[in-house]
Amino acid sequence: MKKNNKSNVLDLMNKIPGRILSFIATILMVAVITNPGMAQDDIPTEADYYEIVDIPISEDIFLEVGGMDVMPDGSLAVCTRRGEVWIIENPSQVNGEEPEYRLFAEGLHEPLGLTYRDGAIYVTQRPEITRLEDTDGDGRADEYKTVWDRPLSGNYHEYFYGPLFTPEGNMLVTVNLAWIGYGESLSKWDGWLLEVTPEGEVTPIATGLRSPAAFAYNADGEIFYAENQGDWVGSGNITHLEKGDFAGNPRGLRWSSEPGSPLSLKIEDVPDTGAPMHEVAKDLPELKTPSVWFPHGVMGISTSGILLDNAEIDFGPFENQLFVGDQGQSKVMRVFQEKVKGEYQGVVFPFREGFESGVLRMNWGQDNSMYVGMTSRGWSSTGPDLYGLQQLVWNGEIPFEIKEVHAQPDGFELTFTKSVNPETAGDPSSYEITGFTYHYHSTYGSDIINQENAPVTHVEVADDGLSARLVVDNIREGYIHEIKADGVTEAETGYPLVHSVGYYTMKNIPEGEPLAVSTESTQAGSKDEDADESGFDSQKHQTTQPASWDGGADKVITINAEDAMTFDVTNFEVEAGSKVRLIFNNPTDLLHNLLIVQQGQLESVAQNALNMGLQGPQRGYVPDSDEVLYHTSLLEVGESESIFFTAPEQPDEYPYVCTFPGHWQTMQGVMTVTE
Amino acid sequence: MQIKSPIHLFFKKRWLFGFILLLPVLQSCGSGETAEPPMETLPMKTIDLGNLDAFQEVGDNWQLAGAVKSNRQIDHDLSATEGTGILANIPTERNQDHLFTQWTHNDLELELDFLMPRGSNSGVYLMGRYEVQLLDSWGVEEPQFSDVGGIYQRWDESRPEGEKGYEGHPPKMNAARAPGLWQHYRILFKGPEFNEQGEKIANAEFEEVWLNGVLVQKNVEVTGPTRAAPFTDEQPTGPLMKQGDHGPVAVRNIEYKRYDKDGISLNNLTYSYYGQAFDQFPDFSSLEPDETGQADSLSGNLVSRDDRYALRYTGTIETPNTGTYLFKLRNAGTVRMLIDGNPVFDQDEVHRMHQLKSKTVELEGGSHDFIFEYVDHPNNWYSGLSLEAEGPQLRLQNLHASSSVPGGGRALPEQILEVGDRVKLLRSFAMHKGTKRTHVVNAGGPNGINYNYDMGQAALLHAWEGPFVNTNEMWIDRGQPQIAKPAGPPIAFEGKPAIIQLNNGTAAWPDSISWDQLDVDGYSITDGGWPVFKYTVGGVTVEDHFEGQNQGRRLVRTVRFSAPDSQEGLWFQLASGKEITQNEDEYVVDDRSYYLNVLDLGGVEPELVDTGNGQDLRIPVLTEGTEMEIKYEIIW
Repeated sequence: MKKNNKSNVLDLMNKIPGRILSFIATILMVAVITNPGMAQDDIPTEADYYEIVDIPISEDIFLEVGGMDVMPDGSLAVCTRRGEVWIIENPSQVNGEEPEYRLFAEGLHEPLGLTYRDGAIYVTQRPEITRLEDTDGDGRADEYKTVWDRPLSGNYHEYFYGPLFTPEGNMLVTVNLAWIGYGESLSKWDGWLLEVTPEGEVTPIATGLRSPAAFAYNADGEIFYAENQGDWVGSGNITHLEKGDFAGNPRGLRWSSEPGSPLSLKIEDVPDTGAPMHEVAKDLPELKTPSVWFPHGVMGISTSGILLDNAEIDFGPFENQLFVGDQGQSKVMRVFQEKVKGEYQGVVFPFREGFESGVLRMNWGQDNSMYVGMTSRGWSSTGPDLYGLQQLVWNGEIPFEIKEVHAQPDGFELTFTKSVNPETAGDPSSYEITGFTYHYHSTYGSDIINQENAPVTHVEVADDGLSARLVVDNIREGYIHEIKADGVTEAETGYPLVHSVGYYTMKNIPEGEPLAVSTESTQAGSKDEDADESGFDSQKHQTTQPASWDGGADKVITINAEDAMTFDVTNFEVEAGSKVRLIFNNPTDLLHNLLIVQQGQLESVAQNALNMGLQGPQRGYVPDSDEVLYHTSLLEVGESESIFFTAPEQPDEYPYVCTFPGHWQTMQGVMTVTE
Repeated sequence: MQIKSPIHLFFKKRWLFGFILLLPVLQSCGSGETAEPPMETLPMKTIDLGNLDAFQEVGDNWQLAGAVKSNRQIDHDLSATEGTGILANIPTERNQDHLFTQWTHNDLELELDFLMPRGSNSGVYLMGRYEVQLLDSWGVEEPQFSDVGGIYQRWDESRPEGEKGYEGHPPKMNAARAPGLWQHYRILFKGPEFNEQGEKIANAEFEEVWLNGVLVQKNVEVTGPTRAAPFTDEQPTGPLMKQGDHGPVAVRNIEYKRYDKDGISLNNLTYSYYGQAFDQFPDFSSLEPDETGQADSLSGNLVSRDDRYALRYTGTIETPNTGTYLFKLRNAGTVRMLIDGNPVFDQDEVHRMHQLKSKTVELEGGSHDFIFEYVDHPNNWYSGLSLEAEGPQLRLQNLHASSSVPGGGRALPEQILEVGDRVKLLRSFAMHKGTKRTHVVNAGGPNGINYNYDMGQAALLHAWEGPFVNTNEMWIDRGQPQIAKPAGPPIAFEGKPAIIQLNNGTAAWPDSISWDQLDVDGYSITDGGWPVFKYTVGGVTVEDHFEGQNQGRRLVRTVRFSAPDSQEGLWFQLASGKEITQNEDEYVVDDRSYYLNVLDLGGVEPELVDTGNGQDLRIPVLTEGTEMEIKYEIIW
């Protein structure tokens, strides 16, 4: 059995060198400043309410989770990327007994979805939807029935997800775009949400999908799918899909003239101007913008599983909200949505991080815990393991959180899980709100654009302390709003919020009466400095050859980022004080940077980068710190950059690292400075 | 600026995607892309077997034949029919001479087909000295150096008893075919090297020996001649020899290339870098380069992010011999390459790395002016450059830095899927005769008999004995090819759908079937663990079932048909290939590639149909009655 390696934040802190610990402590101290005298250890964290528990996996099982479901008897059925289906009995380790693994089926082609229904297990494997049934009762499937086989180009990226059963008993599936240097619909229905009957009849529902790794019903029975940043997708998100919707990536429109297509939009109808998506949607009625954007690098980098906190589940005060996983950052986030002017919109909060591998699937156990299935092969994750299975267990205590955010004609209403201190919560300076959005274009990903402050001018806290009404200037329709509530404290304990930030996507500003307030200090939103300007220190980030180097560089080093999330060169030598040109190439389809740091400071710098929040993507995950000696920009797919620097005078080993979230554990190297 | 190490070609984008796209894919309907592919290597020389002129004086045991027959049940059975194209050795007590080529060689690339009658023994001696064994090793479980694919041992009488034989190298696996079938060797051999004083400075080495598509020897050094070699000394050259005194053997399609020890090189290479965007080749002479320097191999670029650029290399190319040279170019963007001012490549449109461009050029031995100009691809997803060259007696080699090809040209480690004590299945993509199949099921028997099958086409693709499949292109990192490869020596079948509706019984058999005709229902697992594939064709239910038997390596196929009514025009194809010959209930299929042994065809007589480029064996299905079962076995 795998070592039971409990990972929560407190454990983690024990392993972190003192210097980083003091850094974290500094952050925490800033948060507690309103309640002086409190020991930092007392500040509750997410781990104090939701514990991550390992579910042991036998050494010989590569449980690279592709799909999961809970069986009527409480067993967990898991399909793996190596094509196996395991039935795991007693996954919650009742009475301290270890779970038992039973191989139910094998030989499937990278199945990425699994659903139990009526005595059979359905999987979506690359070529087909398959119904697996054990007809002779020996515990192993002996019927592998093809429900629907689909055409394939042979491209690896035509992933296939589902099935999700409709109330009528049909199956919803999503099809990934192929990847040929950009997302492309090589085979019929790549990039679509489809409905398939048990007889294999197909109805196309919606398109515009790029990498739709997960989809689920919300409490209203509406379908939301999780999208990953990429071409035409500025950042990860969840999007409400209805028949005829076009969710943004035009390549699937190749099939819009096929019989049954619910829309006739053509690829060439979609403008590639880089204007924000909500603006393009004004002239393109089919275009469905996300209900909630997940800012890239901050709220994950690869949205995955979606799980509804439904009425039967006892998992804390978040009924009807959605939990959304993230593969690359090994975490689970929390989403509240509301309907404004007939459309869903809402807010995403951090919820729980620290899982052991890349989170792909989540399901409710019969014990009200959340099973979390993971894989990171090919897409490295912050959680270092290649695969994993863990359980998230609520201890029954209510964390102090922003429960919901409701849009208001002139701002927001925040509700809280516990009563707030009316003084701190009523103080506009306890809040900070920033609006921004992304380009909508064929380029992979997007910078943050049009970033502007939205000052909180007035706050009214409800008598029961469970909500606060924020009057905010410069609320912009279509924009994402970062809402920080660092100053808000709990009435009873004085503790700050467990998570004091959320990102609200204001698709529509509601009609209605603004709050009647005296407008003594309403100032227009001041424009931030251009978010594209990284403002790097040119000594650390010199991208042209210094004029004084008339003889050129003494040494030229070329380092490539690799698909395996490594550098191809992991050590090189330079002479002290020599002129170095470092060429960094990113031929992968992820974003990477390269930071050369002070001896022994690799982890510290990586942690600092993780804690940069919205600053992270803006500043290329380069922390403003003396520990960083030289660095590249954050290179997009296919980019290259040279940096020029004079090697340190002090002979030593200087580590280098990619600080993009989730990358630092594997993307490391050492520059040795010799005499 | 002097740059000592090669300037590494920076490559920006996903190469593999491009490669994947290049491969034709057989989907539900249609295949057949048949454009002339660019030249991969210079043609090998073929020994003309229209006569025996290529050989030194030939003993009577060697004869030319038009065809051979060999009954797999009879020891040493080999008979030849009159004609040319095949060399048959039918030794007698009196005549059992070896066969030597007139030409001699040192480094050699060699390919040949051979056919071993049951129980027979022979050998291929490189330089008349270093032997790769030929033997009927069918059914041998643990192959020795004395089995086919082995490097036969040396012998030293002065050594103690039991140690006289040494340096024998067994093959990595037994890749032998059944007796009486054609087999294939591909051998890369490096002869011993001598200095000017005639002293040996490097041993001979079998760099690679491939038997029936499997690498059975790699980098095996031999310190001297094999035991039974006719020459006991070592020399810079020697003739290729076929052993004639141990038993009958047939050989054909002998192709070879001899290589010198030296190669093609680029010298005095200087690069100039121009940091701007060009839509076509600029007049470089009118431009000032942003940077210049020296390099020791072609490589790409010195690029800053987001930049467009052009590169120009000048230098000389050293071509040691006079004759035909092959240049193979892969590049993103556009390339112009001139030798002595004459364009070899002069592209007028942008290319991508997966598109191989080949060109042959006649060159005198010596040094030539070399100019290589490169404009990058406007879409920064595509970049990269590789240039390979081959010449007369000069091996194919890279003229670019290794870092400028995907992954630096590094090979993935093998990842063999173990079968265990029950039949193992794995769905995957698979390559079949150069085409990527996407709906493939691989089945591996605990007895070591394996096959793969296109479930979207009801088509048997390969069968092999030995390890099951190599999943390293599926399960390492993203596994972009998603291909499972047979880990043993595969025999490739035609891969056509087995069942189809035809207008008449002699109509051409289509290459593929659409899912409108073939309704794929999935498979069930039998008690023995082998799958039964299920289809509906029209109103007919079809169950297609294979079971491997390792006693006399067989794949037994059972197909059941049932329908409410008898059928008209529904046909099942048992086999197809270049030529099918019949010997009672056993057929020898596809130019002696495998045997097909009929067990039970429900009383229906199969029909042998000429297809234009071969023959197929088919039977009508359910012409009477509503149930039918057929059973036959494939032996190889």
